[in-house]
Amino acid sequence: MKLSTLVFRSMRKNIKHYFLYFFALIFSTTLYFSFLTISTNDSVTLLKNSNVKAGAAFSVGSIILLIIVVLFVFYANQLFMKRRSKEIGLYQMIGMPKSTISWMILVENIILWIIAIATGIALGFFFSRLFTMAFLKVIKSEQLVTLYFSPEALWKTIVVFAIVLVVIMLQTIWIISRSKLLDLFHAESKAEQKIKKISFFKLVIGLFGIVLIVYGYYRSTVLFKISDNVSMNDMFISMGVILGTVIIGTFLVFRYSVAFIMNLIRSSKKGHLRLGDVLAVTPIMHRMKSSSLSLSLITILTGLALGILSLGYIAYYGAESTANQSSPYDFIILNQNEKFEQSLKKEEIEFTKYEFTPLTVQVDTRKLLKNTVPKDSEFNTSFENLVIPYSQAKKVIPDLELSNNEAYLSGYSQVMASLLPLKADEEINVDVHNLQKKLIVKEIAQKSIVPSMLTYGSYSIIVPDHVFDQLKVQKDIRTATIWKSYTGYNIHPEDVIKVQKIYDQTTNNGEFNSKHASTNIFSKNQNLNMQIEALGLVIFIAGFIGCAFLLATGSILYFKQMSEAEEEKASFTTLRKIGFTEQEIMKGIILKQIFSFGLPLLIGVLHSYFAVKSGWMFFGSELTAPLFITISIYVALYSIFAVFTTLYYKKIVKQAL
Amino acid sequence: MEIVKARKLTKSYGKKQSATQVLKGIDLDVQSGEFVGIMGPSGSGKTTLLNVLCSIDTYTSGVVEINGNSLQDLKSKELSKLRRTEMGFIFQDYNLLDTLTVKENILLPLAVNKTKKDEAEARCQELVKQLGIEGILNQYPNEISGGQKQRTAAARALIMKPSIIFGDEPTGALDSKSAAALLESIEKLNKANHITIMMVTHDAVAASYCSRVLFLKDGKIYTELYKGEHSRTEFFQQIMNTQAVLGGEPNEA
Repeated sequence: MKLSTLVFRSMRKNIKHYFLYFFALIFSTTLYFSFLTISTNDSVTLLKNSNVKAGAAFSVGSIILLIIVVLFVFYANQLFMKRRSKEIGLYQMIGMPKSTISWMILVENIILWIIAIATGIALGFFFSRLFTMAFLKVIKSEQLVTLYFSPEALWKTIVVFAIVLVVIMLQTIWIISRSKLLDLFHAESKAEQKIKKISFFKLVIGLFGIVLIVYGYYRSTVLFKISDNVSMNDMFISMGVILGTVIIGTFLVFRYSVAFIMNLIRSSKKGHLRLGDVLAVTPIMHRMKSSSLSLSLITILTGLALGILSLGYIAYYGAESTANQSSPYDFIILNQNEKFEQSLKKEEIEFTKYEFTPLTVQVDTRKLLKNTVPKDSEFNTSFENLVIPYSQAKKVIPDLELSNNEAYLSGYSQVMASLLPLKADEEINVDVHNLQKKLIVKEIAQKSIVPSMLTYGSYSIIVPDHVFDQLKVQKDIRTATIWKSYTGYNIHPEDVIKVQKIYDQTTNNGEFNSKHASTNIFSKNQNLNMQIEALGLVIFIAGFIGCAFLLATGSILYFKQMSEAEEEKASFTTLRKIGFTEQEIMKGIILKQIFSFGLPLLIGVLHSYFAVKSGWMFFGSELTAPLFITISIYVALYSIFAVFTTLYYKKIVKQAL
Repeated sequence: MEIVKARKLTKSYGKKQSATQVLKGIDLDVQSGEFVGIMGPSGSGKTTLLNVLCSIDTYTSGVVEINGNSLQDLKSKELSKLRRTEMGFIFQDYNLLDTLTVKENILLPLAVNKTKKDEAEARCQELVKQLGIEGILNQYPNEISGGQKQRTAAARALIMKPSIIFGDEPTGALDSKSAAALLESIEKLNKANHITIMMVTHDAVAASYCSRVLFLKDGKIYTELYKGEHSRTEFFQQIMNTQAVLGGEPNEA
């Protein structure tokens, strides 16, 4: 028989095993190729509202995507080789030299890869349009998408996958050359260990793993508390510590704690196991040594994917409120500019107008702090604040009531709330050389009435008019105040485009100058569009990468469970022979799947929850809803893999008798 | 009382045109407390007969009744239950679960039953004492010998107090000493506890422990031998003679 005949015969025979590997390859290629196609599409890369470099973001995304794809293909190949170890052993036994076996498997691989990559590119070509449409929808752009074939993406994909193929081949040759005939026959059972007794040492290490994770979680909750982190350097160290403890802890939990707990459960039954214990608890316990690494990896990847997706979505979700924060009115005019308003009147556009004359005042707000702040970061609390008189603020906040010695803080953003927690009902101090005023802060509100261009992201202070009048006459304050006044205009939503044109014409595209400074002000709509484009890009790329993570983790679990199912087939045969029904066995299997898929997911979700919770305020203004939505979608998609695995088991159990 | 009853039992493999008939009309009765051996050359249908009788395999036509339950009338779920409650199994390759200890393997059939724990515990202790495997209860199958594995399987087969035990070459993978020890234990259980046993074997020594031996040839019962008042050695000689007539080699059939 010629070698080529053998290759084709073995490929045909192995088609079931190949299927997964093949599918994984096609999916990877599809994802990568369509990602590259999108990134070379001009209608995507040239975002009109913002100067975000979409191309750069896409190329970073493609690198991350590639890393996942390579790791995944590597893992799949390794598992695939392990499953074929018997076949390879057989060839060796009949006297085929290792070089011939390697060559045979290489030929198989090349055929497989060529078919898979061609299919993947074809699918990717069609999907890229779908993905582009999805992308433009996410950034709320109404462009038409043409089916666009990118030669650049094509050759990049081919080159990259050719390199990966070479690496995979080297891996394969290495595995074959290292293998001994005897090992090959035992490869499948080699990884299993028999647990005799759980030693005290392992118990301690297992517990230590849990302690590490909890400690990491704790550190993450205090990561961005100013009082604990004096310098940036400390914060980076802190982040490293959190990452390290959580990752090591996860591994220790999988390596020691799980087997320990399982053994505890089974020992407590004193030999009287239920079928669930037989089919779920004992196999998991025995496999923990070999699967702890991959389960930890899956957990970390799940946590990472969920973290990226959640933060991306939190940012996207909060785009509108971020836009509101930075420009509380539809249009803003700094100082006086009659032209804009005159044009509005001429065009007969209705508008509401809010006029403000802010002052820049040194206010001591130290007493508001919830936590004491270390000495060297005190500058944070006594810098210049914008002060607005009560009568002007009342027009925007109609139910605002202030008595003579009270003040009101507005524009207290989420980021501030997390970094610098403040409490109301405390004193603030205005101390300008011949004027001293103490005011009680009545309330601290998130709603902003001053554009962030003027407050630099901080809060503004609303004071009673008589206090304001006293401040106004201070010469120091008048010099310190850069922008003497600003006016906010709110209009009907349908007039936005028309007014934007007028605004651009009358204010030279939102450019304002004072004696000491010049600045550009964007309208609320512009702000919103910029936010949505930039964050849409982020969420889209995060989604793509999240998809790859999900695919990789789900498939790894599926592969693992598939080979476990085959290894356990003999047990199913025995169980069915001695009189257990398919349904009874499946109950135990489902329990096992809930564990195998559920535990990494649960710990991954916990990891991402704590990661997101520690830093989400830098991304958006709402935590619960986007986090919940992201996790739900992820869990739903992830469960598909569990369902497929269970169906595969069902088939095996059915065949077992 | 008849524990196993088969009438005109046939079994064919393959599709209609190219079907090969493995069992060609077998009539068989096994009384309560009997120890029946099935012998015959390779391809005579011994294992098929056993698999069909114990409901692991299906049959083409005829009647099979186990303890009065006709297998044909039962659905697969009910068959499973029948296997679990009425039958015990000992296979050549032990069929123990590697991830379970000896004790857990023995108690396995109770995994979905609501048997009281102390009752099961007492039964388990009694069986392991009878089979001489008290010392290895907490060990895993890969840590014990083949003979011990097969005794474990025997204990598992007996834990549910079945009406019949089916053995498919139970001594096939054992050395002669372990085989003799196992067969003696089984014989003791059969005599003392009146447990019905049906066993396929190609080993005349193993068969000589039985109270009756059926000889199969080409899917039919060729003849049967009763031990009666004979000693084991005499019975062994009779079996050897019959095998010689049957055309199989004395020790390898």
